Amino acid sequence: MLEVLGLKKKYGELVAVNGIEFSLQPGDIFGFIGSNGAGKTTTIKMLATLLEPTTGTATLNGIDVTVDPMQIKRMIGYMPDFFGLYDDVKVWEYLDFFATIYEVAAKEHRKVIDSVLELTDLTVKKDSFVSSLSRGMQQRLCLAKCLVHDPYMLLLDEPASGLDPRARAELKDLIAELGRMGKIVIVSSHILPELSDFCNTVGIIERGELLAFGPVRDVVKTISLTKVVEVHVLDAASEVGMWLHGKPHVLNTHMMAPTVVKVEFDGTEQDQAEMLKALVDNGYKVTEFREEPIDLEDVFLRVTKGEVN
Amino acid sequence: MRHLFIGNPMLGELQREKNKALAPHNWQGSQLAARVLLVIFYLLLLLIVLVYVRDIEPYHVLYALLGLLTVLLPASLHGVIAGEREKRSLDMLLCAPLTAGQIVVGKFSRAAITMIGLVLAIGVPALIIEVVKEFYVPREVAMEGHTMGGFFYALLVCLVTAVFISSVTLWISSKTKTSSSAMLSTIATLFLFFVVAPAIGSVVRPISFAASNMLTLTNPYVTLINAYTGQTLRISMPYGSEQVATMPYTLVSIAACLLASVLFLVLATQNVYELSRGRKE
Repeated sequence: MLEVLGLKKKYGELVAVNGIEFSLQPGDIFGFIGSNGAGKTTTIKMLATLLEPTTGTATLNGIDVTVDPMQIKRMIGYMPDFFGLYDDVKVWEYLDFFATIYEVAAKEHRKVIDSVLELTDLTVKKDSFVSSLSRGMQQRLCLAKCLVHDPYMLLLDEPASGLDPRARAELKDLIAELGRMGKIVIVSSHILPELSDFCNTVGIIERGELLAFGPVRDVVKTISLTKVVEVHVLDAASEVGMWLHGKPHVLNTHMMAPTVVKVEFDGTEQDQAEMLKALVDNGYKVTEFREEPIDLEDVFLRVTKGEVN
Repeated sequence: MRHLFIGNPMLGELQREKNKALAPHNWQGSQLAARVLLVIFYLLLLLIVLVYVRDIEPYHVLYALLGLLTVLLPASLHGVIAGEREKRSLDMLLCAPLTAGQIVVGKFSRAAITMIGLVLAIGVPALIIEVVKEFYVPREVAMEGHTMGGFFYALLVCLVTAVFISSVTLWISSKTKTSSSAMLSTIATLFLFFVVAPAIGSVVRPISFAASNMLTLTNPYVTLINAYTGQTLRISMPYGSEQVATMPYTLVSIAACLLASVLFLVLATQNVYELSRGRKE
């Protein structure tokens, strides 16, 4: 379990991360959302023991990152936002080197290398030189390197930046698989659609402050106090719109098509059900009544102000 | 200390270097040409030694060794930390369960390979000449005070100087952000140690004889011949000449080089530690 308590990082007067707090369980895939300069990389580097927090703590399975960084390093796999690989060696040699570094038993190297290559779909490139790999493959190789010691937690800083759509899709599948394997995965990104598909927990950070944190659904629910309900009717939607205008919890209505009206609504699910009942009771022939899903991008835009440090 | 040398996973760096050296793509084009040239030069050197064995003194060859160590060690080591920092591959090592000392020792092991390689390639022919000169071919100009021990003493000077050069290079590499600035800084520092310092020593001779001797006679390029011949020097001064026993200066030079090497390695370790804690960006 990862527990972050009041983690703060100051560079002189600049507060890069301001006392953020959250906790994650095994199997959690945590989408760390924020604009460039919001404090994502600083937070991830502190968790990776590559930066000393000014104050606050982060513990992984009870081990403090500042007290026993060496033990933490054995438990994490860190993939930086920008990284270089040793490009003058073969893929398996690169992984073999890191297997040695991470003190994987020598007789296990071959097995471990084969399994991480299979997981990252790089088996066919085992004997290729690192320099010959595409950007997406290098990204996967870096991830494979992070996995050689079977870490408890993975810190992936902008893992999909610079990847083409196919490589992104493959990376998403891989990260989802790692979550299913019971690892804590922290993925930072400012490209939200990329995270919404596979993260079960999100945190929104701006100017070093964690503005929202929790399971995706809860965050969306908490942030989106107003929802949009789409009502399809057989009759003229304009009439429905006029009827709804001024009703409790209805903030506004918009005509979308002759038979479709969108209702901005700030009530509960109970209120929503009552509105549907009232529509039907008043003789409107409702063919479809559904709440428009609000995605992470909407939530992010609602929560943040676009400010950077 | 034990974890630095025994069971230091960073010594896997040697395996990586070996793999790199044997990689087929490093045996093509300019890489292949460079290696062939190196072998030709080496064979040429051996040939010259064989042909002119009467005229060549072993210390000539040891000077060649010292020169090569001065050039090749910085060339092969300047980028070991700065280059990784520049390429952004250093983070991978810094977030691995390695101490800063293990990283520095691992990187230093590459210098050890270069040193051993050069000492074997050049030191062994020098030793053969030494043996030949000592037992089979009489010297045309007798060397007063020289013994076989002098050869090994001079070889030790070469090795200690190599350790010093490697440590300086590694320290500078840990301080700088790019390999090119590391290279330039290393050249400047070595120039300062090996050229500027003895030059200053010569200039200050009329002012302070002791300071002058300390600056000139502790220079490895001067120490080498002194160690080899084991002579006392007669240095001319405005008021006459002074006899100087070189042995103390040679010992000071060796001790100073070793001490400075340890100091530079400690400083390099400190720099790597600070990099690993994000105190240097």
